[in-house]
Amino acid sequence: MNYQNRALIDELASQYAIGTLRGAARLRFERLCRHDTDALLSVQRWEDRLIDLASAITPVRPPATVWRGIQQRLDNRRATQEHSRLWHRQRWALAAGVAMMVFAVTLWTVLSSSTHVIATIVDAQQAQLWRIEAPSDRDALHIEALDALQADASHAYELWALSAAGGPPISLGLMPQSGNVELQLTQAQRIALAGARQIAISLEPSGGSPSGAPTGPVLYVAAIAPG
Amino acid sequence: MDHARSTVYALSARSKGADEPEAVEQLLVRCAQQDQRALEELYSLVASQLFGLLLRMLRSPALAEEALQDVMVRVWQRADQFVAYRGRAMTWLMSIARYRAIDLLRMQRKQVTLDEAPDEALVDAGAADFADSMTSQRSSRALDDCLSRLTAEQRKCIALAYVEGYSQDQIATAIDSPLGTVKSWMRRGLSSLKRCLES
Repeated sequence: MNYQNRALIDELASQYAIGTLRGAARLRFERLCRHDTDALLSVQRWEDRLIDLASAITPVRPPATVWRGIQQRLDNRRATQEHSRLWHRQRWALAAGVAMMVFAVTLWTVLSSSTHVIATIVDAQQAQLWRIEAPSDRDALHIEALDALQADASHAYELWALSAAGGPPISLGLMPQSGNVELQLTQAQRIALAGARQIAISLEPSGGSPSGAPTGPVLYVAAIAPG
Repeated sequence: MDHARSTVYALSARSKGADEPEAVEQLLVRCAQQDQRALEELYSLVASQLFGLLLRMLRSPALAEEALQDVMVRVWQRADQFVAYRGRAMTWLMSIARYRAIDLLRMQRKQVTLDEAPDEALVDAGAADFADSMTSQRSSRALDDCLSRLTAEQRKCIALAYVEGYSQDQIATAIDSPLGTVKSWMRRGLSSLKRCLES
């Protein structure tokens, strides 16, 4: 399949969104969307175009057992995660003795450094794309593009602070597509970062969002380390 | 994109009241912060819409109930990825539900194929009639206008695929037309719809 043909990709995106792209072709297209942001954008545009067809469907109240089933599944997941955390703690305790020397060196490095990593952006395969560091007063961001990042010369990756209170995302600037960049934050950006628990990266036209809000798909969301 | 957002809002405003999109978005923000009470509120707001959709596509209450559980668990797990998709809350939720239904239909179809059941077994006799009647009453005006410019065959193919979750083979069976013709109607119909909605 020639995925270089944009018209073909848009046709496949329409078939994906409406649901007639099936079997191996559907899985192949899903794989393509994971790294081809134009394909992902095409799918989202088709989802938006077609969504109103769903309004012709009569809502039906599900039986009460469905919600109980959801609660049960979430409880099971929590129990599994708790078990996993306990296991990790035990492994950390075992490793602690071995790590004493390393810790001493690391502590010295951290104390002597003026910035800390506040977030690392990874893709679905956990490959690291960017490392974001900030000084303790968080008035600037030092961002490094890592090896796994695929540069996209025709778009910009824009960084947003996501308000924990639910307000609109605030742009913090554009991510580097190679090397490092230092973003000096304005007062408004510093307040937005302080009030955020997560940051997001959206795909935007070159030069960044023209509207001041994310216009393209949000590709990555990461938690911010507490200050 | 602005037009698309406005149609999403229009959909929700018609079906549930003008405050729903904002309410759904706020609840998703809270879900991203691991507030399980928000998931329960979200469920009470959207479960009937999602269940109606899943029931329509899967044609089995048991399968639709299982799918709705899958969808809500997935929404809970992925709410943090939604947070910045302002304005697309219902599209996001409905897409998760539709894609889950399509996955389940694919698995169901595989099992049926193994049992060598005829393709007609998966086709609802009333679906084509429903597809005829679905436009013009409840979908948005922009979409209505554009759907009305398609041929009746193109309109029916699009509705059967989107609303019933039919494969192109099943559409060919449902409307008694050759598969190649159905593919052509679908392709041209979607292409015309795109041009019309963007004009």
